[in-house]
Amino acid sequence: MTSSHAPLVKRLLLLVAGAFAFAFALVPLYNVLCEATGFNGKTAGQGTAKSGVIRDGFGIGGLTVGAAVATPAPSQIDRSRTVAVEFTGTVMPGLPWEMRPLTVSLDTHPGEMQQVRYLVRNTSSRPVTAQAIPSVTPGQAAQHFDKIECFCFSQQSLAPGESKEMPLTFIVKPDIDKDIRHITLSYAFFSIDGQREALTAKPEAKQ
Amino acid sequence: MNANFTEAELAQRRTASRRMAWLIGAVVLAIYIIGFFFKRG
Amino acid sequence: MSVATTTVPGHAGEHHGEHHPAGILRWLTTTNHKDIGTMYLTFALTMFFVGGAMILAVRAELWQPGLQLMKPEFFNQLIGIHALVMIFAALMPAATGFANWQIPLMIGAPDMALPRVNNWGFWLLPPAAILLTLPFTLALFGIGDGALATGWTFYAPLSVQGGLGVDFAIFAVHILGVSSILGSINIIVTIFNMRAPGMTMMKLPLFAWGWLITAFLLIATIPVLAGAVTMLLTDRHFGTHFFDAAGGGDPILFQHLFWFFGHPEVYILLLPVWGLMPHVLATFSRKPIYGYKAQVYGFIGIGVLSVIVWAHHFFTVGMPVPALIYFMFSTMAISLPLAVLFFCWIATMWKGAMSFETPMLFATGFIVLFGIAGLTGLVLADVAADAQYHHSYFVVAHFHYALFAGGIMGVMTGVYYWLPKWTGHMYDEKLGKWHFWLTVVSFNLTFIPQFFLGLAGMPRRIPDYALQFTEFNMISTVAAFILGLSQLLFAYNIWKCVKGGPKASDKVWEGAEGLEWQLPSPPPYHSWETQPVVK
Repeated sequence: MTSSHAPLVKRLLLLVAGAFAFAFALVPLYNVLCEATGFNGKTAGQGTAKSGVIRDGFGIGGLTVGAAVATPAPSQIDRSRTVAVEFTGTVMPGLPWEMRPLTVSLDTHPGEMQQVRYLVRNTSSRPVTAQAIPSVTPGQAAQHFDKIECFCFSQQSLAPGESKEMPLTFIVKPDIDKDIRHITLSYAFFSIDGQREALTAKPEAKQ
Repeated sequence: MNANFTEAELAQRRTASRRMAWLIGAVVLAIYIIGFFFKRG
Repeated sequence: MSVATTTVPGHAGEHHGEHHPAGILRWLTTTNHKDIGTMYLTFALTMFFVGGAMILAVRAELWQPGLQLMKPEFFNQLIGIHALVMIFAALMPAATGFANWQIPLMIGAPDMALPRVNNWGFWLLPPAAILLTLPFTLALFGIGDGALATGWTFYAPLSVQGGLGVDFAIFAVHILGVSSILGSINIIVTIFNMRAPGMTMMKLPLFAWGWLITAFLLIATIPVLAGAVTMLLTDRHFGTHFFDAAGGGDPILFQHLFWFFGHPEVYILLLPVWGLMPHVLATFSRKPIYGYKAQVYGFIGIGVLSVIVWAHHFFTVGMPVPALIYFMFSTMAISLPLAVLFFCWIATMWKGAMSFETPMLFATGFIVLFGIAGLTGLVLADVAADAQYHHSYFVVAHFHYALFAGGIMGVMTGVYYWLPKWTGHMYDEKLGKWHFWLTVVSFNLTFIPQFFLGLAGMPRRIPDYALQFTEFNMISTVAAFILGLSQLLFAYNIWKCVKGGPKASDKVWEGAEGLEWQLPSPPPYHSWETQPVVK
């Protein structure tokens, strides 16, 4: 009886295996989609400017230092409109740091280069290394938000109690959609070492 | 429960269900039309 | 046609001189589709009460603002486990129980195609249910901090950071997934290979068609969920960064993976019920099913559309406008095949000689209430409106209309419709009618206020709320308790029917059509020893 069912069962099992593999295939597919559409707010200016891409989802995001984008000629600055950029930041659980933007928001013309700074302080009594991950809202603006210099390009280390002003230089590219008048740039600072242990080992500490 | 209806009873149920259907249809239509006369405050 | 003449009165498990071990060993080792169906249904009913008790505790907490009964962490655990229990341990096993009992009877097969696989499919469920709820008990002994507290959706990064309960839930989902896949493969093989001679695919009963589409959806999407929670597990313990932004992963990716499974899951839960409805409506309208082919194509259409609309569950996450528009329109497009089903159901009743026994009451109640689920779903599918309603009680009310009124009331329809066939006894009709009216009234009283709460801006998944929401929450809580207690009538009625009652005829219902009604009530231990021939 069962043997006559074997071919169909085999085909169905193949389908199951295929669907399971598809779930993992979605990971790189999703990254390609995000490259193409700015789906998830990943910002430009992290890959090499010429090839334009290579933001790998598996590596340490945003670590590849972008080749410096040439400062645009003044003619490229679109003075006919302004875009308001707001800055915010979060320190993820498990990292004994404080951070805040020294400029909360500013108005800029598309194409204009701007520099702002974040004040970051290590509140613990040990040296800590951390990595900032940027995110831009709305997602459509992400591709047009070029960071020329950013503390998020590399890991940052702070000595016990040390505080540091961390700079960020960026350009909102002139080809940004005219409907976008407001952009929020958010940083999340993650501890590099032992981060997950800190989160899962003492769950009661969260309460 | 497990009633076996006579032909007359079945016929009566058929008419009743049709009448009910039209009635429900009319009520729905009425609610739809009345909706046009409601203005937002 | 060979129809056994033995009609020994007795409950579902009664057997006829067959050789099998007695007692618990019989149930552990059984490969009989009826035994396994009975176990699935019993398990589903038990877990229905477990999940119900959890949500009554939640409703009690929501009786008034402020924290009365529990800590917010425990509240979060209850809502998440309530959903997982109801979906994976109540509704899905109930539907699989139906399939086990009915598909061989309806298509003229002696048993399911893969009986041993069938046994495994069931016995994976209890361990999974235990895994899911064990962290509650462990927390009492100071181990871990309780069950999964992320809601049933496991959203990263919360689930990456969560405690021990997340790991238990991940393994439970893995086991439940394997069980569903085994069940699905079995059902597909049974339907493809074991139909009675002459039963072409276009003569297949609609219930079997509905289940066939469900089975394919399960095979296509459950592995994606398994993949997603596996990534979650490796993120939590093995240093991968699929969803961990610190390592370059993306939490939003998890939402895509989850809802790629999650949206078809809704139709997985509902398709067996949609398959069952036309049979019930035709029986009690004493008319043939209207639009058989249209309904089959409707099922297929919905099955295909269901896998390409997932992102409407997180419109507010921030997507490019073209993506929003695509997901909005594709979601709304589902209402077209669904409307075909609705019109077929109504046309089946049109001019019928209707009588309103309990299954018919539940079936008509289902049409009305499930219609409300569909219409409020259209509201939520609208990107502009969704920005307002997302994550509010409006969503909670909407999906309870879909999954309680659409899913669970559909299962109740099936139970009342088929119970006399399974047990050989009629259930208590008066009790059944009481159960229906109490259920439908208290259900609406529970969830209509939640629509209003959502419109007024009350967010879901919170143990405390602003003062102005108090009255509606009180109504909802009182009605929820009535709804919960009314289900005891359901359990009692089933129990009473299994134990005894007026003898049911083979056909049970005057207007019933189909192979299953040609077998005695209850059917012999091996359903169709000789396959019937369908003309």
